[in-house]
Amino acid sequence: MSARLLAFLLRAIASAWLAVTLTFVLLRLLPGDGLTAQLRESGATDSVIAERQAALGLDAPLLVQYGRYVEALLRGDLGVSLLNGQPINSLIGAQVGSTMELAIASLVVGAALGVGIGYVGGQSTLQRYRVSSRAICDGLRSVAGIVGIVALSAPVIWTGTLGVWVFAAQLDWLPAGGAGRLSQLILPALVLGFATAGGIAQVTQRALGAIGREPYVQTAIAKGLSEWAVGIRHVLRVALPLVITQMGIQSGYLLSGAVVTESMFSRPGVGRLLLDAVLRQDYPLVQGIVLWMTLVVICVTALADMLALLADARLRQSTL
Amino acid sequence: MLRRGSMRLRSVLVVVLMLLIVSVGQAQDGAVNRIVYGLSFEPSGFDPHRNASAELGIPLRMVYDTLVYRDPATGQFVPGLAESWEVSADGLVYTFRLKQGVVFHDGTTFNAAAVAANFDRILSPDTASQKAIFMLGTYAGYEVMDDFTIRLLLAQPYSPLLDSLAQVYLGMASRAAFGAYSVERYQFHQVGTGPYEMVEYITGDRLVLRRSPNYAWGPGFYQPPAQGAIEEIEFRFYTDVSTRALALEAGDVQVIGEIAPTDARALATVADLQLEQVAIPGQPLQFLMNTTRYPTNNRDVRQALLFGTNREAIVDAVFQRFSPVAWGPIGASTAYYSAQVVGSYGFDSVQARALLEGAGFVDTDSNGYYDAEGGDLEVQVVVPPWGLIPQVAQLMEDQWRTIGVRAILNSVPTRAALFEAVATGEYNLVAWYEFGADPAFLSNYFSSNGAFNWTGYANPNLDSLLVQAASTLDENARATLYAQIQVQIMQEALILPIRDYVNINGISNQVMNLSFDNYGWFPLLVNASLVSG
Repeated sequence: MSARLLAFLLRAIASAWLAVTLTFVLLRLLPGDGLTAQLRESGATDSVIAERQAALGLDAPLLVQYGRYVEALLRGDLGVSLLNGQPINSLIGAQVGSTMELAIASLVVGAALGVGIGYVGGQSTLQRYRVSSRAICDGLRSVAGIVGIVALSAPVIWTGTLGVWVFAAQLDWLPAGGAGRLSQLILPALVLGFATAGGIAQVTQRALGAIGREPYVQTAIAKGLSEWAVGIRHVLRVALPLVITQMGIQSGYLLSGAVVTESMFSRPGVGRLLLDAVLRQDYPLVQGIVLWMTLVVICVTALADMLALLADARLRQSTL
Repeated sequence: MLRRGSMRLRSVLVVVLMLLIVSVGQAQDGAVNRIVYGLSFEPSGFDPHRNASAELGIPLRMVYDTLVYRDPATGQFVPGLAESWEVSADGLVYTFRLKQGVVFHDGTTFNAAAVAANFDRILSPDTASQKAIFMLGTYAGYEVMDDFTIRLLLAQPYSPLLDSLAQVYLGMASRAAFGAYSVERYQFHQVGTGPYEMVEYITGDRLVLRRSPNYAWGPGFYQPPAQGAIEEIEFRFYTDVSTRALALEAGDVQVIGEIAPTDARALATVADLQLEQVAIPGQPLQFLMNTTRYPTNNRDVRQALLFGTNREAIVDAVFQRFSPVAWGPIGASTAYYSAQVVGSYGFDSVQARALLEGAGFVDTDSNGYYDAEGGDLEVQVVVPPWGLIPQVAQLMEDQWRTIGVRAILNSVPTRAALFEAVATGEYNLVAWYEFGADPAFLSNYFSSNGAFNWTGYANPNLDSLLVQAASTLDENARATLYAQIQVQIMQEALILPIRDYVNINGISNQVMNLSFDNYGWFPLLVNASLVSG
């Protein structure tokens, strides 16, 4: 176990380093930075601009800047925003709660929808034994298939705009945006959750297809157990570890989806902070947020792996 | 077992529903006379002395008073916190006599020492001002004469000084407040003397203002309503342009700016909303033409491009007719705008072709483009992504095809990238605009040594006109000089103006009498009122 932990830590550190370094390099392939551009536009002279850059260490060679950045990172210091001088730690800290709220709500929606869609779409094997309702089930299955594909492929910017138009502007059931109240969380969580559901539905459906063909499932059906009992106790339960792992993988997707969702629904959050920072070329801030997101994805994936382990007796025995 | 499960599910559902009802209920019984105002983005910072965004002024114009104001009706400077001022004959000394009895929202007194402290703060290297400091021009210091008299000293005459002092970036803040917080934290605890007090700023979420009960020293054009004044204003950030109009339709916001022209077209038919189109003074969207690079170094080519551009069609298609066609280097709502340029270079492709052929261009290979050094007649255009410029450039590319000129569109992702592209000198046209009520900014673009002399034009006559216009204090003289300047820029065909910038605001019919100040962006919320609806 300790060897596994060590391997995990090494992998996590390597991923974080890669993310930090790639962001650092890629951002600097773009010409200039936000602060210099702003100063130039305000009419600052070259000498004033040079002074300001020197104060922030932007005049040093790139490699030196990179070295200083990594050294500060090791001390837990993400630096300060180029444009407003605030520590990046506190800038991100102020937005984490809101993004977590959205991500968790979306994950719940995504898991419920995804497992639901996947379940309906994937029980072909079960239905083989229930001739009477086959037509209805086939119909439901096609619908689930279509919904699953839409969830997987429709961009959040489209489903979000549609959602706001229908539920806020036309029906007036829900607010178009904002944060702080439960009613303001519903629409963004549905939109982002729906997008997350696609991947979960696919995994669920495939797992159900495979498990449904197992002899023990057929035995259970032959024994006369109800469809629900077989489906949930014998099939879904076994598919659960795979679904949990998939949910962990979806966490990265959730965070990138939050960038669009938060902007669209006028919500605070790390995603919108990232979008603003990119548009303003506030490099230290972009770097800080990318690092934060990387760490979150690493942790959530690890957590999902652990949960999958707990949910699956076979994995537990083979690895512990 | 199953039944118990569904019971539990049902009770969970009931709880969720109750929560929903409670939260919806809360939404409806908010404070009386409160509005939500949608901003287009969240500025990188909200401190007007430090940060540069025009967006910050939308709320903060109501928090701070300035020494002087521009009257929105006349464009003239009127008393603000200064009840009067004198400028010395040489233009180097501005003496301001301050209003007495003015109190900051924190109860401290406004006086000459407070003004001095504000100038100290703006100039301090710790503040690292991104805009305010550069608006002071040739400012060289101040002298406090007595409690309510202060002199600002200039190294050289600088006629835009009053224009700068009328803007929120030079708003007067309480030194007790900015002394109590670090330079980064003050933006969360701002204290001014204006008609609204800042309640809170929660990053990413909202900025809230509340009406100040004691405000009685506003400029003459601040006319608070007898009843229905807006007590509380919550500003929220709507970064995504596609949901801006929807948020207004859904009633989430009562005022929102920068609605996309296509959405505005649709909103125009919604009954309980009004569209307020506000022209923003400053430069129209324009393409500056490089006079130092082939082929735009030839004035005939530049004029041909002007004649060959159907601006009406561009304004129709891209801006849905919400913007007027621009004809010169400054927009029609800018001070000293001259209508003499209106109509010059109206769309005429025959004239455009005649100019090019007169300049010796021929199309020997009959491929539709005139021949030029090493191929077809081409112009390189630098195209940034904002302000619908890419759509404009695409239409221009099509239009110029019919006059035998090929446009090569070079997209740049950011301002910094645009500056970089311009620094290489490898362009014929570059799209740009900046805002401002005083056309002093023209010096940056059209003086031979201007920091933004992207046309590369150098003409001693134009230089001296620009210097005189920026240093003369006489209004009429400035008007004459700037008229000459505008005409000369267009005679030389240094720019291709497209459209005056117009901010399309959507306003709920519940909000009455909302107008905007002289700079276009900033709403006079103090004059507005709310009717229940």
